[in-house]
Amino acid sequence: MDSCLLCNKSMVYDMSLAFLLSFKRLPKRYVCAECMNQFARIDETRICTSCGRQMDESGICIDCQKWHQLGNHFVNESIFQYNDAMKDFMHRYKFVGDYQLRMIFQKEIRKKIRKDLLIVPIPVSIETKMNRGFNQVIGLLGDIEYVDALMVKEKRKVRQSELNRQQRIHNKQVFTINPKHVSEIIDQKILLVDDIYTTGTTIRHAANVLRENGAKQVLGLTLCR
Amino acid sequence: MVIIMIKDVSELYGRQVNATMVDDSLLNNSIVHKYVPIKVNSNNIYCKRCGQKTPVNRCNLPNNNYYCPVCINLDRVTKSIPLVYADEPNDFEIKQPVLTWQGQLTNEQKKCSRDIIEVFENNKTHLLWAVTGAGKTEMLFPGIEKVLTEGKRVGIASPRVDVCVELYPRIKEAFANTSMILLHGRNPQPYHYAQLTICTTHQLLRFYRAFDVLIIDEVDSFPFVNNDGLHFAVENATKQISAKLFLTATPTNEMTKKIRSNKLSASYLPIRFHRHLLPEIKLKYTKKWRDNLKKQKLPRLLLHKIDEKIKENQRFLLFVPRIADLKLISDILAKHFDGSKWETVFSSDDKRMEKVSDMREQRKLFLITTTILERGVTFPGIDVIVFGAEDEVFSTSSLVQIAGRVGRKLDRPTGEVLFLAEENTLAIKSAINQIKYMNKKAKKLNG
Repeated sequence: MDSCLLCNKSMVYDMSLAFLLSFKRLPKRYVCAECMNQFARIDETRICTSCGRQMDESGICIDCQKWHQLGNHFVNESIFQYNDAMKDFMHRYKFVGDYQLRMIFQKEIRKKIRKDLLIVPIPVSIETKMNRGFNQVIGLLGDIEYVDALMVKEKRKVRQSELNRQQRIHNKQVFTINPKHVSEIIDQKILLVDDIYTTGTTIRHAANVLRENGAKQVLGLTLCR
Repeated sequence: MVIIMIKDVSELYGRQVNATMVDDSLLNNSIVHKYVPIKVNSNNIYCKRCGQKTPVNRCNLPNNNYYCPVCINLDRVTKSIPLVYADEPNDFEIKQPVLTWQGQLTNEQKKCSRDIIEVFENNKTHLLWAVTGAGKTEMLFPGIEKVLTEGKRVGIASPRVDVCVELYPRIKEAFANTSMILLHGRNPQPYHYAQLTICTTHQLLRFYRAFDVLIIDEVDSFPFVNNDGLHFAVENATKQISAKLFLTATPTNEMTKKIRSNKLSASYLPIRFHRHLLPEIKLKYTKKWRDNLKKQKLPRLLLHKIDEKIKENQRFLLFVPRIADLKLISDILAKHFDGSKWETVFSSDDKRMEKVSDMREQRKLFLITTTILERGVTFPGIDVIVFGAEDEVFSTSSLVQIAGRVGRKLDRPTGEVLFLAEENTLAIKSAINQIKYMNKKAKKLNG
């Protein structure tokens, strides 16, 4: 019997006669229905068409209007809202370092991957990689092929999550191109993947580096917004 | 997140932490030992901190590294980072008087208390089976006094945070001159070396051959019961020669079997400190209550009981099986009664502590609660009702504990324990029998 990766309770599978007679394979689940219901999926019919956040009706949110005034037009898509359950998930996955939790959302990410796009994950610093032991974005990608085209430029003094919005927006470029893979991105359409879109600064910095190095188009995908 | 580096070696006495948490000057000190906590086998890993195995695909990290997901709540241990510790030196200053408690034990308590001293002195493993409200904590005092005076390190652990939080001030008062620390997941207080540690059983995972005497309260309760990792932690946290005392009001079948086959020594205390018998369980049937609940209906019997208690101003706890039942039942009751009389409580309720103190300070007449309030909390003069007592969440020990909330004080040593159930289950039957059995033994003592 499998147990839920989040609450540890053993999971009950649908074993109805109808299901048994359908001869379908039992779907592999990592999280029980009760825990899964705590996550809020973004309703794609009512989003900011620029950053992908949940809105009351579709349009451009105030934050993105500001970005547009600065001449920064970036299109991002997100799958879940950053609610309490997602906050807790991120805490356990990233900061506690429970790497097996990566499996919970791999299927969701996979559904959003388009074949015509080159996948580039947002990198983590060498120091984070050392402490955490993994890049959380690459964990979410599972066995999807990607190009490690970006690197974190310098040793950050403080973690991004400890800065406020103003500090983050004005934070200078933190990424640089990975010389090993620079040739692979030229003239490519790229899907940048990150775990979370908060102010949008991180993913836009990364997109700029890719464009400056010859990428034709850069789109964003984050697990949550 | 600010990580405070450990610089003082005393913080490593009998305590194991990740090397990354320890200052370099200490790491090079010869009294600090290091070991790799993860052993990699062909298709699983073994964690030396919690003693549990995990299949490789559940615990691998990139670059041939591994971590233990079983005990991850107490900081992650990985193959690449050693755990470090220093041997326990029992470096304590003993200030007299050690025991600052002034109370008196009853004759029955004294007898158990002598057993406890004997267990501590001879480094035995022993079970103390004492009914709810027997005054277990006080019985420990003479034994603890003796070992503290000898400079031994003592741990008192419980699976329940609430129990630890309630216990700490009582122990603090009884041993006012002893260095002491309270450790649990929600306590932000930094660690310091102390002769007496009060902690949740999870926290024991951080200790290594520290305690000369370890007392585990409420051994029959979740998450300690059936948790191999925590049982391993008990062995790991105690010295190779040490005394282990388990306390319970409701031993599991496994424990009673061990007692019967002489694998575990035990003492019994079947009578409460005030010498009154345990209130016995009344069982009434409520057919198809769950179907009716879906139709927004509660059994007339339950409504009648609650009406009676509200009229008599009799405080009580209403136990229900599931968190999801709380709101449903509360909403229906609000149609019949004044909704300001109660609150609902469950484990991850943010306002749990506040609501419990509302009840304690008599601002509420009753609480509708899950099993979270089954033990460790005392509300003087209450009754209890268990609605849906047949549900599997109510184990025998849960039910005995719930019944044990009633009649704990000398000024009202009796009260009502009412179970409403769809059917009579094995757990209900054995709860009723356990209480009858202890009462029979108690009657003999009373002559």
